Amino acid sequence: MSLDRIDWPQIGFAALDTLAMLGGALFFTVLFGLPLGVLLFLTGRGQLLQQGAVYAVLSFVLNILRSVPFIILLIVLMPVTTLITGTSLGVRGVIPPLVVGTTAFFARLVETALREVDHGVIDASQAMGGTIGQIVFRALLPEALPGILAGITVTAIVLVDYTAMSGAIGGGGIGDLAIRYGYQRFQTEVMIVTVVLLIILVQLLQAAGNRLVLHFSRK
Amino acid sequence: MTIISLTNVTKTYGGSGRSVPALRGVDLAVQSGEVFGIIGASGAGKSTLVRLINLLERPETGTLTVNGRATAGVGGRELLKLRREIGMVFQHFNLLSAKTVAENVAFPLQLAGVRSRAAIAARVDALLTRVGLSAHADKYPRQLSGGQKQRVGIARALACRPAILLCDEATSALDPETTRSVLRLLSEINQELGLTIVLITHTMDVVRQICHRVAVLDAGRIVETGPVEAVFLHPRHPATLALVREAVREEKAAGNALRTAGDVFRLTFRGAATYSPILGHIAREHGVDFAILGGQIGTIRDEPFAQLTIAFSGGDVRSALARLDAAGVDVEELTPADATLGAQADVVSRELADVA
Repeated sequence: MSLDRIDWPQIGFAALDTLAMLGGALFFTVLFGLPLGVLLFLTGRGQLLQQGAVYAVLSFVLNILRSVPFIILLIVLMPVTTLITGTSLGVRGVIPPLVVGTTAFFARLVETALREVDHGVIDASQAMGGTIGQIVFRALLPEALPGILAGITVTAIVLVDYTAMSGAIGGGGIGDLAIRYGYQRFQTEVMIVTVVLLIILVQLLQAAGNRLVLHFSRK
Repeated sequence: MTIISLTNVTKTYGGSGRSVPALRGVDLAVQSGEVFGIIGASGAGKSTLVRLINLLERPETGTLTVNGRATAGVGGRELLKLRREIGMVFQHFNLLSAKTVAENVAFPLQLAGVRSRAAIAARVDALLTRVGLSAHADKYPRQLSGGQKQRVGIARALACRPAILLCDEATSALDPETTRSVLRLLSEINQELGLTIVLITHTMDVVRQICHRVAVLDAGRIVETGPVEAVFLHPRHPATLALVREAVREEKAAGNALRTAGDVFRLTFRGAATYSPILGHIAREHGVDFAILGGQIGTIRDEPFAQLTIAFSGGDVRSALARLDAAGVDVEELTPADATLGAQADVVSRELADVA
């Protein structure tokens, strides 16, 4: 086993691919998951827009999405992915299943973060004559920001995990490298390097997330 | 002028089957400019009443008029506007933790659609100065003490120049010293702005310190209402009695009465009469001996009062009583029934003492 046999530029490109998948998927996850989480919260029991039926349906669908193992989701969604991005391979081909896989998870985290907000804040905003939009955007979301940031951090780390897994069905990035070289060609050193890279990435994400949460925590 | 009026208002919680009546026909009229107390033990329906008055919920039956407007059928923008005419102060402050003190006070102005930053800044400045917190404008709520947080809460409630300030257990989370200073602030605001204040509380002490009139809520009904002096010094309903007794430990006095020779009276002195040496007078002039069995001396708002339970013996008790009456002292003869009630409590406490 020798580090000389490692193709460093290739690892560099793979790392960039991983970051691209992570960034793209995280962006869309937050874009879809945040409103879903807010809707889930608002329609919940005792909340501003209490709607038992809407909540039940939404909750049911999100649970289904969360119970499908990601590797299965990757395969099942291939036709949909091809329809959206034109390919089911590489960075672009992986982002849709990644987003589907984590949006439901993130929406739940947003719901939980909003529930953590003291209900008195909602009462006060309502008593001050705030509309639901004002209460959501000016009171609830700013109050829940640390919790939502923590949720984004956890989601990002889950995404790193999923991008690596997507290497199994032709996604790009570090996971793809680990499977093709480390596993299929028995290049243990490539496997070790990819694992180390993933560890570093997760540590960095967690540290950055923690700092952001701390910065916005006023409690 | 009546600023808030409730007529036969009822409100029930829970769906069909096992519904819980929270209010069972409440009639209430709050006059403009007064400090009106609503007192009741927990579960009496206070929270429900608050949510009706600040228009977060609607009465099931009966009518509610706020600031000269019937609230039935008011919705949408009109409802939001009407809510802004009522400032609200909460027990747990309910400040936004992610906003600074100044931003918290600015919040209702922003919700009301005030766009000019200069106007908001000026208003916030004036309010923070009034509540004595201008030095803390850029702090976050968690950096403040409870009393300071409540001052922010009061400044915020006043931001939109409401006609009514509704205080829901506003001092219940504060220590006695801070409670006094917050109540003093409310009292000053009432006088300066002529603002009507409705104060919901479970302690008689709060009512005694700043309210003009009080209504006693018990099991969803108003059981007694009137000037604080009358309700506090001469409670009629058992619920009121319980709330007053919590504020003053009177049981002992009445209990002692049973073991005392002579007739037992409760004398209530108010205002100037509190300072007159009238008991000495009647002892000398009418030959009446007296034993003080118990009592309390204090103030209602800023007026002094004393209420003493006294046993008179010997001499001309009848003319002594007439003399007291002439001096403006309220005299009530305590019947054995009054005394027994307290005596039972007394026996219990003596038994406990024996055990110890």
